[in-house]
Amino acid sequence: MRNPRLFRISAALVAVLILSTAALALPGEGEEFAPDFTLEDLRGDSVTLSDVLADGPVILDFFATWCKPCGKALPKLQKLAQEYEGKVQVITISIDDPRSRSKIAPSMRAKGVKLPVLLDSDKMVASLYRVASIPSTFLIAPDGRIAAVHKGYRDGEIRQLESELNALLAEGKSR
Amino acid sequence: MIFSKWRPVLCGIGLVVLGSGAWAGSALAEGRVQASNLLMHQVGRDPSSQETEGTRFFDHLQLDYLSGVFRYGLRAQVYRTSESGQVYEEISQKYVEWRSRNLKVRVGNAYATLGRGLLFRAFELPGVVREVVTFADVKYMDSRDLEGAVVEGRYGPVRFQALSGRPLAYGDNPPGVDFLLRREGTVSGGHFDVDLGRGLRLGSGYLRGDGFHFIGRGDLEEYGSLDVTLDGTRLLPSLADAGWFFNLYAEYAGKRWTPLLDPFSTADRNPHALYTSAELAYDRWSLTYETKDYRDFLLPYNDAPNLVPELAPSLINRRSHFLVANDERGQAIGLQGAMLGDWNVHYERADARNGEDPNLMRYRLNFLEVSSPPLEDTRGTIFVAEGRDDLETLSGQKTVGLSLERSLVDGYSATATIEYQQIERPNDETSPNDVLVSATVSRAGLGSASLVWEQSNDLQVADDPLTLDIETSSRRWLGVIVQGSLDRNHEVAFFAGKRRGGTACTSGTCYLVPDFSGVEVRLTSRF
Repeated sequence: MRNPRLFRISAALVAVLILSTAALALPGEGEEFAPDFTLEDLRGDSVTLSDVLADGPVILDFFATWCKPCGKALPKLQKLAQEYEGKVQVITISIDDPRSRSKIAPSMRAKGVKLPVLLDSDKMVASLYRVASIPSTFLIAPDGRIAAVHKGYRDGEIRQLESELNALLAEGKSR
Repeated sequence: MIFSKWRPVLCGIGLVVLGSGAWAGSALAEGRVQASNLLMHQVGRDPSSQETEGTRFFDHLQLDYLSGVFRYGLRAQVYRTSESGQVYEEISQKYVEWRSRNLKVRVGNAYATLGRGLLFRAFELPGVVREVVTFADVKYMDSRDLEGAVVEGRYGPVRFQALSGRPLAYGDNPPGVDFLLRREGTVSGGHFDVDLGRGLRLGSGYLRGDGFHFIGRGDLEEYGSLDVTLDGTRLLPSLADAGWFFNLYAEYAGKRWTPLLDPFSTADRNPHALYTSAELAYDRWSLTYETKDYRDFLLPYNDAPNLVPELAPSLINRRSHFLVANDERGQAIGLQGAMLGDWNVHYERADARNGEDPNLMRYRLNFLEVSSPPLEDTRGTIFVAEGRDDLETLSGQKTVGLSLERSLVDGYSATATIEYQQIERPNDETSPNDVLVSATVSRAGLGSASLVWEQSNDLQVADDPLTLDIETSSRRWLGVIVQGSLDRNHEVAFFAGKRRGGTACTSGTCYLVPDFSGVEVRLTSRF
């Protein structure tokens, strides 16, 4: 940082901010909550996560057209979305650069995937979700709690996600 | 001394760590601090080092506080090395963001893309740690942001963006040398577009900034752009109902642009960039066609998209093409589809050329990949590719590869891959080749273990620049990679052996990765 004084002041402000947050916080269970966001889909329509969560659990999948493991996961997520239609919404978020945007829809069609695609070309939402590698998949409960996180794709990953989804749905019924 | 300077930050971090389990919010991540950390430690040798046991430590911390319509963020990174490197500790980013449903204002380190990025693009590459050994050994997170303010919003059919600030001086820069990090002058501009209905959207952008100077400010330069999008499914819903999909996009950007006097000119005397794309799909078949035309459009504060397919095979990804925005034209075709029995086909062709000579082909790539449907828990993929890239003194390359995946018992799976590439260089009749063999065993929810072996007898790779002799014998690399989740919030990746460097491309951006020999541990945490 260019100005050491400014640096120390900024750091102190952050410490104060955190301290004040802690003082106001309620006792919790250390659960992780999903940051809300608004992104555009391929047609230019805005989609806000909190609106989608009003209808039930959401699976968010960060992917890119050039990512091979993502291409393997997407058809399996499509199948999961069909099997759990009305119980969960699966939304994909593309982190492709702006020029690769023209490849997104064709790539999805070729894989037989009809899931909604949101565009995060400058990766701001990916950064907010602290996505360090793709695919990264988040199962989000209707109250915004992140129920499961999957980083990367390996054979059987979606089966595991399905069992976590079933647990979340069962938890919702028991409430 | 360093501790005292960092005491406030350390106190803050400590509070986050201690209290991360004790905060609660009503809905979504409001009223909470969230954090992620990447810790990387290396013991070994990189190409710039004569030491065999040098140590390098890098840590990157990201803190975000989300409270109602406000967000605050801060990033810090630290680098230490036992060798002569550019050690530093810094607050690399800070921002405040206010957002409503249709409007977002961010002050501090911000990101924005005008149109498809011909004029301006500030972005980041998540998870990419840049390792530079050219001048001094240094590591840092790749984040090509704008230090200033960005406003984005929409009102009915209108979307708009406005930005002003200081971008990085040279696309991306290692920390520690302040005058190299940010440009002296600011860039300002914006973009808006209007949905005219029936799938037609028209937009225009504007940008002003000072010209290129190594140090200091240059003369003021202005740029403008026009873009048009046609969504075929909204224009002709009956075609969409019949299963068809098509989409057209075109963007033209020019310097000192005067649209009324010289609309859409691609004459060489006018600095410009033109990008067009067409997408067509039916059932599970899709076709993409794109063109580019860059002339004198190497903007000092923009990393223009290069229109080269980003492909998964390592040997092809490593030979990706770097755009010359001063003078380049080209096109790319992509075809993907599924045949009977779920055989998948993927074909890409891209070419680019420079100058007036129509015979001068500087870059070409043809790539065909066929994947089989699962057969008794086994799936195979084969690819072939050929091309050239004069910029890389590569007059020809032919590549083939095969990958087999098999599901095993108890949720385990195994993958074996082999890639072979033969290359041709001007004035070299030896036709050197590259080979890559890898084997991976993985289990969902647990992790994976891989063995990667590579060999090359390409003189540009085999010769050690640190020695006076010209090494002609083959170079070999053998590495073990183990990665997995320690728990839900911690992931570890371990590397031991020799890792081959070269070009790597992520999300349309290519960069150089140095060779490494030794042991590396990366711990990624979120809390």
